[in-house]
Amino acid sequence: MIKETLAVLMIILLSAPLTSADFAHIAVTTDIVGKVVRPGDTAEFTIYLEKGYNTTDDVSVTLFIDKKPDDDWMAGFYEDNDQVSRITFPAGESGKKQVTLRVRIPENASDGTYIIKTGFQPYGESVTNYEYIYRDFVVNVDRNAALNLDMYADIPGRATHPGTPVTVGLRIENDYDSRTVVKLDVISKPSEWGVDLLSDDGFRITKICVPANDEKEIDVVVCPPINVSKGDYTITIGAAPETGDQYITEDLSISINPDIESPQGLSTYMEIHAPITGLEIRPETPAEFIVTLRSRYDQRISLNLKALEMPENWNVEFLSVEGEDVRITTLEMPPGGEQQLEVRVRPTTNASDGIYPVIVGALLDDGRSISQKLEVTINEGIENSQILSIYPSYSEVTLNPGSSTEVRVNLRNNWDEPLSNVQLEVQDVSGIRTEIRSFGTIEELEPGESRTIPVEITARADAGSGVKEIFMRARSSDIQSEEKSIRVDVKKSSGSGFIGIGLVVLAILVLAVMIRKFGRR
Amino acid sequence: MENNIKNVIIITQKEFADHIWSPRFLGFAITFTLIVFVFGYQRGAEVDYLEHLLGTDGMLRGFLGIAKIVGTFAPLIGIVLGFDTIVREVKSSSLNVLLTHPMFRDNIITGKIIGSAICLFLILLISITISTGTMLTISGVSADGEDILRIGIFIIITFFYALIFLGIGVITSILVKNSSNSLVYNIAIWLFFTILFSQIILSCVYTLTGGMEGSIEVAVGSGVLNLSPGHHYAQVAMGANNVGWGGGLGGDPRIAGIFDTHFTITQWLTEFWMNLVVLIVTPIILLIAAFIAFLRKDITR
Amino acid sequence: METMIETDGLTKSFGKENEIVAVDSLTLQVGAGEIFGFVGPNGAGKTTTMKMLIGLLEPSSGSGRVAGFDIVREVIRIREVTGVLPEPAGYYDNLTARQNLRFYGKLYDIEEKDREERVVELLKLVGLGHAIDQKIGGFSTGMLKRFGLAQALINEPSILFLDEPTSGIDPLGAQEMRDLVSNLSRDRGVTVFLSSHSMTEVEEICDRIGVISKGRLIAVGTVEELRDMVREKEGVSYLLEVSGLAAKEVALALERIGRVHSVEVSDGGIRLLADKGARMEIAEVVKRSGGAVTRFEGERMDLQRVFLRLIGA
Repeated sequence: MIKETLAVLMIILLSAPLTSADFAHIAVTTDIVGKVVRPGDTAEFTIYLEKGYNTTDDVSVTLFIDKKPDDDWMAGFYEDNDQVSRITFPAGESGKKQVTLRVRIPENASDGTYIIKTGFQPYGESVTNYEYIYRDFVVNVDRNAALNLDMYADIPGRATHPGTPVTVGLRIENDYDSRTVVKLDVISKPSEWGVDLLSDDGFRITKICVPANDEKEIDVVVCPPINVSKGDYTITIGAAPETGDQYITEDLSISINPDIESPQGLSTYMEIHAPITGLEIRPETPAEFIVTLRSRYDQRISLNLKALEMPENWNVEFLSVEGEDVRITTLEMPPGGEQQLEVRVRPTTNASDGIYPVIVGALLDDGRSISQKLEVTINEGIENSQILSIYPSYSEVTLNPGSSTEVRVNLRNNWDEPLSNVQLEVQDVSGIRTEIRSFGTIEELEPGESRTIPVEITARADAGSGVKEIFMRARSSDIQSEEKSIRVDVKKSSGSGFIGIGLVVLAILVLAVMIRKFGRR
Repeated sequence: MENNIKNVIIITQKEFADHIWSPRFLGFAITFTLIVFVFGYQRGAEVDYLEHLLGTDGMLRGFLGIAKIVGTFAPLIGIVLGFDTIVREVKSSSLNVLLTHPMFRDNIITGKIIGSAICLFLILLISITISTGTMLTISGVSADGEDILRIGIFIIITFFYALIFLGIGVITSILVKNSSNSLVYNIAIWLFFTILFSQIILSCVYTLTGGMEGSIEVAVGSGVLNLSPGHHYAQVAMGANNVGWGGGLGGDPRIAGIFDTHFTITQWLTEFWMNLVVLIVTPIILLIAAFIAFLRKDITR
Repeated sequence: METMIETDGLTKSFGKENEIVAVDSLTLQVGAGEIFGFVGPNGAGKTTTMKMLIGLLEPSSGSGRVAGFDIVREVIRIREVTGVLPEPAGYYDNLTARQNLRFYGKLYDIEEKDREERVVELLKLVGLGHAIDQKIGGFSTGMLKRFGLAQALINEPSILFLDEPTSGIDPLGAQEMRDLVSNLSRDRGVTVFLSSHSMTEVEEICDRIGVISKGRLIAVGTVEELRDMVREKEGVSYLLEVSGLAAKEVALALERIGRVHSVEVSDGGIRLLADKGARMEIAEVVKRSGGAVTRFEGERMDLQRVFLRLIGA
């Protein structure tokens, strides 16, 4: 009885790992497995790969296309736009990864249904089950399928004076799962009308790239001739994928009415412009932008300066660039005048890393405004090392044993406040001796000031050959510079080796000659 | 004149050949070379040795270390080469035969001195050069032309220093009746100048000043030490304020001798030219004295 | 005959006030090819004379010429044409015979090839052919003397000065040495000036002998001349045998002759000492006395005695 119980127990114990090995190490799931596409399109399918719950070791999975309609078809797996063929799940983590199967349908594919068969094979140290997992994806090619593009104007109909240009915003929406290059054309317009397609930075465009499931806005500037007669005119703008010729169109209606008052906004007369619109800073330091305001009014106007949009608790100040630290809230602009301002953006000290938009604007009393978008990137990482920076004059030196060289290390205060008790710290390495050839610490380093400290690096005569690295950093109380290193390549001087051998040979030669010449009896 | 020169060369050559084939001398030369090498290498490898005192690089620092040992032993080479120069020939009556040939006495003494001097120089040159070369090859420390020049100057200084003792040896060999007496006198002179002299002076000064601090400075200041060739050699080779061997370092030397690369050779020369002159003039005077002594010697026995 | 060595009143004195006179007014001539023996007791001034002749010592007064060169002003010229075996003589023990001889050879203008040949040739000549490459340090006194001779001959001298060339060597060696010198003189026409403290040493080979004592040259001449000199001074001793007359009678008769110094009758005959020229007169006296001279021979004087007589011992 006991024997039998033991045998059963044994069988259970032995079979335990085996049964666990039968669990799948990888789960492959999909949501959409079939799509309707046009020849030349790219179809994308999302695949989720998940590590089995009971697997703690690291597991890899090889991804492959098992079958595709023919060689003109291209299919591949992408993760964050990088093509991948293998994915590893690190040990100890359970995780889910998302990959995208991209299938590019050839231009000449005839209408019909096609199947792409994908395969997944898990492997790894603990993997005992090498079975393939297959997933099929269906692509329905249909030349008459609707384009996944959409285009619409914000204000499709506008009225204007003859000769006065109007700008119409046009949005192009890409509903494809991949980014699409869209070509833009003016398909029809009244003759002698000027129609320009402009990007938001003012350049004429013919093509625009729209990210997957995203939209882009362009401006259509329509310039009716001065002598155009009253009436409604239509302008047709077409958009098509770069590779196709099926256009979607949008009609813009422009009514010419010489009687209406021209509805000109403030932006027509005022201009706001910043040459640098993005700055990367640490949380405690302010970002300083220069903004230029230009007035085209023929009378003086008074402008209120304001931050129209900014993260909570941030502080935006307008300062004169003349150097006086004076805050400006309102500004009198002379006719045709131009004014430069400094916009100082102070983030909150606890602001986390990220990109923050700040929109500053100038407002007239009647509420009309112009604005400029500024971007402040907070990066805690760059901040510390850049208060105090060091630059060694060499990053690599070659020394013979027993010889020394001097490296000059430049310390610079990049902060806007003086740093006190700045000192250079050099880490010694065996075989290399370093000596800072200056007196103690630098008592005060003014903002922007830099100081050069000579450091003598000596290779000991008994130092072995090889590359050694000396690390150094500057420090002022709790502020440290980033760590810089100097690689010291200790090379036994082959020159002196030759000199040495030369000397020995010379000595022996001299001895031999002397003995030969004068040693004979 | 031409004949005289020829005779001098023949005697020189014979003296040189006699030295280099003499087992006694060969043994001494090899020992000396080994001493120079071992001390030089050991000191050269000790990087931290005197590192803060001197900024000299590895190899020359090694030489500074051996300057002392060379300073003690180089005079012995001079003595070994010189002590029986004449007395040996007189004793064996070979001088008697030599003088019956067309040969003046001055030719003989000149030739002998030159032969011994060449041998002396050769031994210093070879021993120090081989040591330098081996050190360079083994350790791979760098050496430039100036280092080599300094070592060259060191060899020359040491040569003149040893030449003083060669001169003393030759004079003794002319004056005494046999070789062993000559050797005893020479060893006594060597002991006196290289080891005892500075000690005696220091003891005297110490006693006279009642053991005050700065006895060494007084000793240096008194100029008595200038009587010792070892003192002058120590100055040029190891630096100012050295009171000869055994006196220790008398504080920080201003220029630590020829191997102090903090100073140029010109600066060194400016600092020590007096000592250098003494080192060069003394052997010349001694050799001239030997010359005169030999010419005046009664060899009509 | 050409004179190779000549001195005129050659004098050498030592001491603070020249009170020790080593050589006193020496005047002599030695002809070319001659073997001249210079004999005198130790300390007579032989070596000093020789040293003056080869320019090692400067004379206090007087003059001398060797091979036509002045012994004061042309010392080197003299040494170039003379070979000297001094006493005492020493060589370089650490070198072989060849190396030693080569060294002396270098002091003369001899081509290296000739020198090497001559070195071997000379060593063979003096009988050291078997020891050419042996170290001198191991040589016996006789070998050293031979080597000394070779050394003196290295420059093919026309005059050889040999100071006591046979002293300290065995009789056989001495004989060989004498033969060597004699042959040299005969074969090469070398003038030899040979000093010795013993007349018998030099008698055999010397053409002429000069006897020096206490710095003064007492006599110069061939061996016979020297004997005659003694004889003249001291008379000759004769052995006379007479028949027909009693020895005693003869003796009585002879005693009356003034030139006969002493008469002594012995078993073997009458021994008498008479002046050198008294022989005829003695014969006459015997005859007149009625006797017949059966034996009348002058005794040959022992050279050592001649020498001792000459130096007045």
